[in-house]
Amino acid sequence: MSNFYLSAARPVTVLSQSGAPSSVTGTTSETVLATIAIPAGAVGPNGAIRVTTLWSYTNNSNNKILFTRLGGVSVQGITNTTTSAMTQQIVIRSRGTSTSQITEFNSTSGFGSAAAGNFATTVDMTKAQNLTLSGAVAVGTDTITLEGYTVEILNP
Amino acid sequence: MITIPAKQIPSTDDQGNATTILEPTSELPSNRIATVCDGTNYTVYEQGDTLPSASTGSD
Repeated sequence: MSNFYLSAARPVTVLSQSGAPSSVTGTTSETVLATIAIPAGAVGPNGAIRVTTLWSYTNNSNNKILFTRLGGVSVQGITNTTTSAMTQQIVIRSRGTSTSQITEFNSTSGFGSAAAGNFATTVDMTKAQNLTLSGAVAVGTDTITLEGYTVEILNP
Repeated sequence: MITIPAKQIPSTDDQGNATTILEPTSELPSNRIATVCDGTNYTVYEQGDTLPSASTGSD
């Protein structure tokens, strides 16, 4: 797939999408549930990555944390307890250069106000990078399931 | 159904502290219909396999 296909011919491209569930249980380590390869140059200097996910998890008082990482760097970690499911969307925006991004780092949702402010990263998108979706349970008998995801590339 | 071992890779948490993440030692097959990681292995279910029970969202 050429960079032209991703960035110019189609301003919004569905890079990856899956509805096959992926779960973690039996460990308290953060565990990768999906890995999406982003080709070098796919996200331009004013481009963005829009990540939409559907999760389910054990409904109890224990922490269940849902992570999104770009190039290994956490751009969001949402902690859930006494709920059972969540749709989450985040937008990782280039900041006028392909080597700097900003994402709202909200620990409870992907939208709205956030006391922690935005989260700046310096992942070099001129090179191929992985975006990973992962989960961590505080108690190993709990379960997190990534029910599905859509990863889109947006370029002006 | 196939099994892919999990491995620990070094990473950092939200505060920049060193931590580790589990990931599969090889790419998960694109035709998978479900995956479950138990901390040691990723069990990958393919067409024709009996799926694991779905999460009910409760204890």
